[in-house]
Amino acid sequence: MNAAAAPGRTGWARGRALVVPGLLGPAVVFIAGLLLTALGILLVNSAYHFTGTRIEPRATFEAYRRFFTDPFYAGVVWEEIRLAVTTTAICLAIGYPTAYAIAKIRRPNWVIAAYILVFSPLLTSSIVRAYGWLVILSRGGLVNWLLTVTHLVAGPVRLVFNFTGVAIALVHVLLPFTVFPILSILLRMDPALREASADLGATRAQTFLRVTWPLSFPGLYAAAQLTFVLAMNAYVTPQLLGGGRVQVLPLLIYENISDLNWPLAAVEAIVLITLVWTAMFASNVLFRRRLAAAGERE
Amino acid sequence: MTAARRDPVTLALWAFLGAVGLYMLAPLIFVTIDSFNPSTYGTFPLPGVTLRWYANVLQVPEFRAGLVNSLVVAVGATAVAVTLGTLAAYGLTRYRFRHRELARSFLLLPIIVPAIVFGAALFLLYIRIGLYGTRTGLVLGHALLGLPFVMSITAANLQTAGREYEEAAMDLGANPIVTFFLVTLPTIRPGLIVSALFAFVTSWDQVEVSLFITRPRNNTLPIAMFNYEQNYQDPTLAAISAILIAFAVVLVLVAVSILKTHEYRRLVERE
Amino acid sequence: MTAASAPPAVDLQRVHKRYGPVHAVRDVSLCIREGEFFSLLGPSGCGKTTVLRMISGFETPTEGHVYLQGRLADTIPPYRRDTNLIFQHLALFPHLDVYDNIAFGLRLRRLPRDEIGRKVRGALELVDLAGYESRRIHQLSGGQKQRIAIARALVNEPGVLLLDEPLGALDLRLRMQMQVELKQIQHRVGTTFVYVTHDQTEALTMSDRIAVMNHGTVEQIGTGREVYERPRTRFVATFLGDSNLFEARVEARGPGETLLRAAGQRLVAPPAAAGAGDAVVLCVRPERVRLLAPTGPAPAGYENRIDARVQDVIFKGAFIEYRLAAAWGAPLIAQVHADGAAAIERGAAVIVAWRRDDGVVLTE
Repeated sequence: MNAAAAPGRTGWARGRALVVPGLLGPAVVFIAGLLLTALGILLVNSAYHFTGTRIEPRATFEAYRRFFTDPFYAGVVWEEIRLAVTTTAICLAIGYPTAYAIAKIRRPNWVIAAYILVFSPLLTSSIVRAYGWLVILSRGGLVNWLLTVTHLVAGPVRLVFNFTGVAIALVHVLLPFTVFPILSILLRMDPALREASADLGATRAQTFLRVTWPLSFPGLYAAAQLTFVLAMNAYVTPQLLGGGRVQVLPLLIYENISDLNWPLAAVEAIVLITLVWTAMFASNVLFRRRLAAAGERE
Repeated sequence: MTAARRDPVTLALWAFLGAVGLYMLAPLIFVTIDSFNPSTYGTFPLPGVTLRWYANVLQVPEFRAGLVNSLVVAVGATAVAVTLGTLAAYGLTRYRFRHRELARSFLLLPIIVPAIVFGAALFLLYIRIGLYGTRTGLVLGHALLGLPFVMSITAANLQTAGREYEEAAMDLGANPIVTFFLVTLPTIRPGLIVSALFAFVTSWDQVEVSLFITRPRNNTLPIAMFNYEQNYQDPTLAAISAILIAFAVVLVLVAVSILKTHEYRRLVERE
Repeated sequence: MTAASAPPAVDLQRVHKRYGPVHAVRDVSLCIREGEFFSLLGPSGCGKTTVLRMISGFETPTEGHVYLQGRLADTIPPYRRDTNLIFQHLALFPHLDVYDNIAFGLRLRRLPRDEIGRKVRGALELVDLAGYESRRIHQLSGGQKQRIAIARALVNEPGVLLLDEPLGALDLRLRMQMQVELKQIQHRVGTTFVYVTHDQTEALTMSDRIAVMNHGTVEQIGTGREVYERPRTRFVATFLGDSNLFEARVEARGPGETLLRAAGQRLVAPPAAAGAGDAVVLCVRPERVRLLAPTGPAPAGYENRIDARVQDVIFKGAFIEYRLAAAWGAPLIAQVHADGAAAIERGAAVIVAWRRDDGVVLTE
């Protein structure tokens, strides 16, 4: 849009020469100076040569070659995607009915209680929550004690320091982010639509399948995208509950920075950012296609 | 009402919601229980009850230093993020200019860059410019993460508050700067408080970026806890976690009471 | 231009406002006299609010000039203009109480504290809300908010008070009451009022003069009576009240009259600025027509007579409205004072009649 002629421009709110740069300048300069510069340096470092003890500023691109030829890294990327897809799927399966139930609550006090249950873990650090899961899932923890007492298992089951433990704790960390977008779209939905559906003779199941579910799709999509991206970026949970057995890119990035292999860390960071952005872009395109195909309008 | 209560689908939904609630609270509850566990390797059921892990929290100098550092950094980061974010939100909602949407997307950039990537990149930048291991470096890094939240929340608030109050002030003789302080800021105060809370919590719980840019002597509390968890794994961590949970509970209760009076006021105002 | 020595309170000279491709206001010239209650009337999107915002300084004209009390004001910002605006949604500051709201403008002018107190009390008395100083805005009723908004603007003793549909949010009864009160307040303070509304009754009730706007242009300016009884365009005729419109052609111009032909029917109308053969529209207000029995005698002066049939009879309280179809099918409307006489039956054949001078020739 030609902003110089945008409607709504008014006498006093006109972009006078210095006002807009004065307001937006500090934030823009801050982000450009810190984030863009840092990412630029990261990009430059990805090309450098690592001798095994130090970095030589020569553009050899050997870190890229190593990352894309060594099957170990393909395995890490696969593990990362598997973890993100698994947790996203579980989060959606749990999150949708949760949001649906919360949206159905009518008493204000119960609404507040439900919000607290689902969202208050956000106020505690992911480290606290990871530690909590360690306590619950460890060999001597609650779950194993329950399983043993009830004679469901003979000996303790390994629930931490593996994929399962990471998934259980990660779902816990991500669930609020899954519930929130679905809940907000369910709450915005006009209740008259469901009443109209019932009035026209639909059973509750039919109303859900033909009205509520399709209308909540944008929220579901937003929830899936957000959950997936956050799962891809997770560091604390896989580190503390994976016990070294669950290798994902964020862990490798930190490890390689610590080992002074900055070029390799930079390449891993670039791969991670590319994966996340590609997933976001692809799902946006898919979502728009689906909207267009369904003939729905915003 | 009673018919709806007995209906099995609804009952199943409530049961499910209850189970999810338990799942969400479980780690917080068991961390708290474990903080009284005399056994070093959190075993169930508890063999007894002890307070020695709480005493131990006070003995770990990293926690004390980390707490102070975290508070200072969080306050600083909140101040920077709220100042820059509010100015930017005001510019974005009250003025029209070329490439406005581009500017908005640019200001949201910190959200779509994975924190771990930003942390690694920031480390490479900071060791070059001498900010590695400094509080300033932490404040700037955390402020950057909080900025998009502040900007979006405040922009949404400015949008709903509308321009009419500001125009009324100008009509009554206030120039734009006087208007900003006398009318704009007071009308968006709830939004400012929420965005400041967001920025504060973002910094307070930050791990992925802090990990790269702190030195052992200026660790934040989450990093101190993270290191402790990896090295010792005794219920001292549960004790400090329980303290933090209690802190969060107080915060939630305060928020709920504010929310209630606010809701109440809103209802009254509507009548 | 007025002949008076004092410059007009507001003078717009050939003002245009464009937003990119949108031409919101086209070539508007207005001259609002000191002490006048002037209304800008038109449907939403006709540019009336934009005109008001150019007077108050929130918009600058793309072309043309705005003069306030004879002073060129095009680029003077709102906070340095001698105008005050009452906003559509009032915009009373929710974080301030009634006193602080009214004192807002006075404090910015750095008046002494006791003078501010005196003026605020005076303003509250003017709007009949003495003693409300410490009320919060959310404790006030809709009508009270309205009056506080008036007090907040008038306390600054502006040269011109601008009102942007401030009564829109009130229910009908309160709105009518506020219309009368506004008019009284204006009489008392003598300030020039410029009032924007889309409600023709509101404009007719309060205004000394009305500018009827459509598509960014002023279609007609005049007193309420002038614009209602002598509309100049088809838009004015239909926007203010109901009208019977006849597409006609000028047959001849006689002394003091114009002869028209519409749908084969000869009609007599007052003189008009149109030559023989021109296409015109004849407008007759529904309360000016009489319904006559087809067989009865014709009252004197009712020269225009059209055969019609009653299609619908609507009782409206003070009058009865008849929906009719002319012999050639065109819809007609007639309003008859409800004097207790029996209404004409649906389906009855009648003659719709009116006097020559009850019609208005619209040349558009």
